[in-house]
Amino acid sequence: MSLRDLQTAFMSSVFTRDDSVIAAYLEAATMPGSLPMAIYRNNIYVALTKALEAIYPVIQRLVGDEFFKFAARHYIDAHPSRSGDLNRFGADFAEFLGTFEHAASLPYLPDVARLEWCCHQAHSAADDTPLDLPNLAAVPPEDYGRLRFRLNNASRLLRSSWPIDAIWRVNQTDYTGDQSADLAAGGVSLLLQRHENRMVLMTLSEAEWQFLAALNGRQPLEVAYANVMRADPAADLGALLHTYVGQTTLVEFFL
Amino acid sequence: MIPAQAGIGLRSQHHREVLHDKPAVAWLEIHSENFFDAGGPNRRYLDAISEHYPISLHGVGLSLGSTDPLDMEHLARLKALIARCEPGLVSEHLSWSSVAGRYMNDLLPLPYTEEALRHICLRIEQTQDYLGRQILIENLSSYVRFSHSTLAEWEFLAAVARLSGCGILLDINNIYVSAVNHDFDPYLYIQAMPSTAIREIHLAGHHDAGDCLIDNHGTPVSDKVWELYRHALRCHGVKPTLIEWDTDIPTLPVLMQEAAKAQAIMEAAHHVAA
Repeated sequence: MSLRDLQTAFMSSVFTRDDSVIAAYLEAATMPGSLPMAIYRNNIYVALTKALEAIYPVIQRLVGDEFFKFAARHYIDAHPSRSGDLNRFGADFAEFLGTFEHAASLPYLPDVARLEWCCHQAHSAADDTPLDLPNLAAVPPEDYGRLRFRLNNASRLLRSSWPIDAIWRVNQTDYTGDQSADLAAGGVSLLLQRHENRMVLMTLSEAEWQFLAALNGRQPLEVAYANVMRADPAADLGALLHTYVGQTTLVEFFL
Repeated sequence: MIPAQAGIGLRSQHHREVLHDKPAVAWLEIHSENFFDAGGPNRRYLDAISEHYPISLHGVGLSLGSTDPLDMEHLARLKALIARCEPGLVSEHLSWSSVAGRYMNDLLPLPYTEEALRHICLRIEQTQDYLGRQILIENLSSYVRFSHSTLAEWEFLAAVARLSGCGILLDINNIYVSAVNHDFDPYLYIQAMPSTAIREIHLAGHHDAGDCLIDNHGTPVSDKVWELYRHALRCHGVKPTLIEWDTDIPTLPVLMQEAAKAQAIMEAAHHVAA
């Protein structure tokens, strides 16, 4: 009866809900036979469900507490926790919701979950300092096209074919306005960024998206500019750079 | 340095209030994993709070008793956190929570065998070597006992401290909960602990489910546990003592009252000793 065998049997009992193997290891208890493992099973599912609730409050509001618990139970079984740090649990929840047949009537859920996971990650991402402007100003004009940039650690870019920005905003706990979001409003391109302690969600034009997406992919500025021009020939290239350096979305450059 | 006084477990519900009001509590304990963040508000909060209070780090995720390899990334994040907030104490549990790479994120009991003893001592030594400091190991509350155990839990815990050089974080509520669930004498458990190894005490509430006690950290400390606490101080002298509350978290003043109660018991015990 090795320690390894015991641990394997214990975990199997928790997740298969079959106590027949672990029972051989258990001393006759003062409490009813099936109760001890039921307590552990309950504690484990409750803790993992609470971890998901903390990361996905908008999904919880959209589907309700009961359905959320039901979905969480399926998720916990299909996507095991892989870390002793519960803050890492739930990375695949968006993907899971996309395949969860009981949620098929809410096709925007996976993208809302993706946005919430981005919020969760950006919330704890390393702090960045503003871009070194004097150094950028010292770059000779003929080298501008070759400049590459790094986006703020606490920023994320994401796109959806649903108006997930409106869905997210009206489901924040401090939001007091009209709770409805127009699903026919169509898709959005978004920049999410932590400013001080708050997550700020910015809706991007196609030109803005092309600009940031190219730079985020470590493309040089000339490629970003070409993509912007294809999206909007009237776009002001200098203003784009100025805006995103100014709001510390772009924090570092390389030549 | 954590003083031999009462502290409280700091939970996010009270972050703002504690930083703003700076309540008169001798020290604070935080869950290590909640401050592993690379940056952002939690990290800034920790910097601010550790300027005003001695901090103790209490880990729940290291899975020291697991037969999987130690998670070196988890340990590296803990080490970085220690470097940042210079905690007076760093603690973990006499437990395991993972096998074959899958985590249950709960504190699960070990069988009290020679094999498990050798195993967890090795892992504690590995952890202490890597962190370059002693860690404290806390006794669990439990709902099962394994039939092939050859040692009592108190014998096992005392041996762990002796063999690995770790300190003991004695959770009085956990002893009481397990004593009721497994029908042993909690007073003997406490007497069997090596005084010098005990470096911290935890107090919390539990739920009486009828068939057993559930360690939910969601109620005031029970009278039986306060009695056991007095016994622990008589046996081992005053130790830094923490009030833990994790479900149905009350207002900060309620936590402070519980801490004041522990403080008064410590002062009375000290007076008797003197």
